[in-house]
Amino acid sequence: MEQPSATDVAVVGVTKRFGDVTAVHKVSLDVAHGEFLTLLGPSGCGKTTTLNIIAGFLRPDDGQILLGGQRVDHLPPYRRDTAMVFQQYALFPHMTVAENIAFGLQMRKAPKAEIVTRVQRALEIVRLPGLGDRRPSQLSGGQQQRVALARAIVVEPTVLLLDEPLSNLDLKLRENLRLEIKRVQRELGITAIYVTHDQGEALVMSDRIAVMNQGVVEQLGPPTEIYEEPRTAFVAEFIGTSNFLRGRLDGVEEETANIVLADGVQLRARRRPDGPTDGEVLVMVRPEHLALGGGNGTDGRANELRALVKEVVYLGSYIRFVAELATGDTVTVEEMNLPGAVRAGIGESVTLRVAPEHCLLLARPER
Amino acid sequence: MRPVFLVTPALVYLVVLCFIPDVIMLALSVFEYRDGVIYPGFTFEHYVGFLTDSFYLNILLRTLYLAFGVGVLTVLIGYPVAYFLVRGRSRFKGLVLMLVLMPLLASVVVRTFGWLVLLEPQGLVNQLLDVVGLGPVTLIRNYTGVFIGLVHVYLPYSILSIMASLSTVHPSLELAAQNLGAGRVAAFRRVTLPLTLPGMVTGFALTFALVLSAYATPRILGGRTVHTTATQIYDQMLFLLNWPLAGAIAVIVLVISLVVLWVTSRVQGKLVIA
Ligand SMILES: Nc1ncnc2c1ncn2[C@@H]1O[C@H](COP(=O)(O)OP(=O)(O)O)[C@@H](O)[C@H]1O
Ligand SMILES: [Mg+2]
Repeated sequence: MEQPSATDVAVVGVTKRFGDVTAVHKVSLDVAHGEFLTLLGPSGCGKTTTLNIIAGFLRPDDGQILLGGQRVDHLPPYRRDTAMVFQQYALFPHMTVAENIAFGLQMRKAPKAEIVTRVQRALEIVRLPGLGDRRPSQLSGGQQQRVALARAIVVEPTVLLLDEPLSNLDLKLRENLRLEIKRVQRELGITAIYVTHDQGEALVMSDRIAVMNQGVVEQLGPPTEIYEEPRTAFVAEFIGTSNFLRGRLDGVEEETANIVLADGVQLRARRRPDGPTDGEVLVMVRPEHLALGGGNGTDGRANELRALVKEVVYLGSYIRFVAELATGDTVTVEEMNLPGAVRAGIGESVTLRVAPEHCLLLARPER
Repeated sequence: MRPVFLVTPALVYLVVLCFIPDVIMLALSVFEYRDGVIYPGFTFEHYVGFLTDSFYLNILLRTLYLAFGVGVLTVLIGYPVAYFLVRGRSRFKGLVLMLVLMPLLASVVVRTFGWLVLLEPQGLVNQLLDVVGLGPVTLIRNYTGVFIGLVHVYLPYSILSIMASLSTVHPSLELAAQNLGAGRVAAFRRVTLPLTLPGMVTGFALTFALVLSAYATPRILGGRTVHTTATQIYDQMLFLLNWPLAGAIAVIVLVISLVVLWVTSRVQGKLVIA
């Protein structure tokens, strides 16, 4: 017996050009069975194009697409076992909800009785039982997107493709529905590729995230790795809030490096084996890792920076300080709002502390 | 400004130039007519006469047939053009759109004379048919010529109606259908076609009503041998001076147009519940 392939979708070195624009450049992805992979990136970075190439709406200029181990590059969309949830829902307005969901099963020539039960079941899964006779126009945006999800999962595709399915909905509904989509995907064990420009969505929903920038996958990994171990300044900046300190490398060891900031201050930072070895660099620090307050309690290892508080934002559970370093770089500091926490006012001169393991050495992007 | 002032100019215009003449026509159609003289009165004899005389009835049926045929054909050949113009990605889209709209800019008379030149026995069309061994064919002074001319004149209306309808159908609907396993034909038949049916019905109804009242094209390309309701109204008024009969024919044509428009709007209502 043949070993079932654990990889449901493989995108191999896919490139797509529109005239002079390279929308997608040598993108490679493997999506395991049952995995939820998110393509995350700013508008225009090539997410939709990648998804459309997988669905077969676009032909790549180079590279291959494999579904369930089979090459499908030469197949038209209707011969590929994918199901797409579109940003604008794309429900058929002249059909009822049930007819919309039945469409894919009819195209697959499923028996009538089976179609009825499967449509019923799909409506229950997306929590819309009893709405089968409505028209899409009689439903709210959130309900319409649930119908679109039901229409896609009912055909039990090899891969579920979702192109910013929540971006037309308001915030509350979005947060609700992202958990719903995740629940349905997990319950059915469906392999899914999800496209979004919303980092929050990506972090909450994904097993792995592929961060895209200008047609290239900059980093591919689980949410924790993307957040804690960004490979590039772009990834660090796009996911979460990041502080970047500009400096010059002054000696590297295996896992640490010494950096001199523009004002001569020395900094120790964590360095990955493939990190930069000399020249102009960036040090990335998350706001929650910067601590406000003077030297007492310093074990001598922590980096210390002098800064001037420019702005204080009270956010309830935590307080955000915006401060300016002597180098001119601005940093954001977030302090939990706990009893006894250090406070500082605007115009106050403060010391910021950060442990070397929370200072990540990154190459400075050439701009 | 109160909204009523906004519609006043158009309303005055319509009442004076459309509604009042219609009332006069309606009144005339029941006046009496004897030996070339019109007498005020109230009689349905012109209606009865028109609808029972096989000569007139024949003209009416042929005109309806012509209107139906032209309506159907403009929709059938207009659809692919509209599809190309709305969905196509060709560089020539602008050019084709201009070609489609150009007929609307030239006078019907000018265009119809153009067809006369093309269709006459020694015209370009017959020369081409001759080359492939199919000609010569009589294409003017008969219904064939009138049909060809009318299709050309009214094609833009159907194309524009269908384009309006097609542009309301988001392209992602066709992609969704294909994504769910429908081939191009099935996607078109199950999704695009039903959603653009309203545009097709509008195009048909518009063309149908316009052909019923078309005068220049049937007269120029049909000569003295082709009669339609419009040419008949004209002849009755100007040559036979039988204004009451002309009025009666006009009222009959008007009623038919209104019925067609009413039926189509009912059909529309059913089609666009979506
Ligand atoms: N059909 C097209 N013709 C020309 N350029 C396109 C087309 N589709 C996308 N592009 C370009 O390709 C790039 C990537 O687009 P897209 O994949 O839609 O980005 P995203 O979905 O990440 O916002 C953009 O620069 C966009 O302008
Ligand atoms: Mg997109």
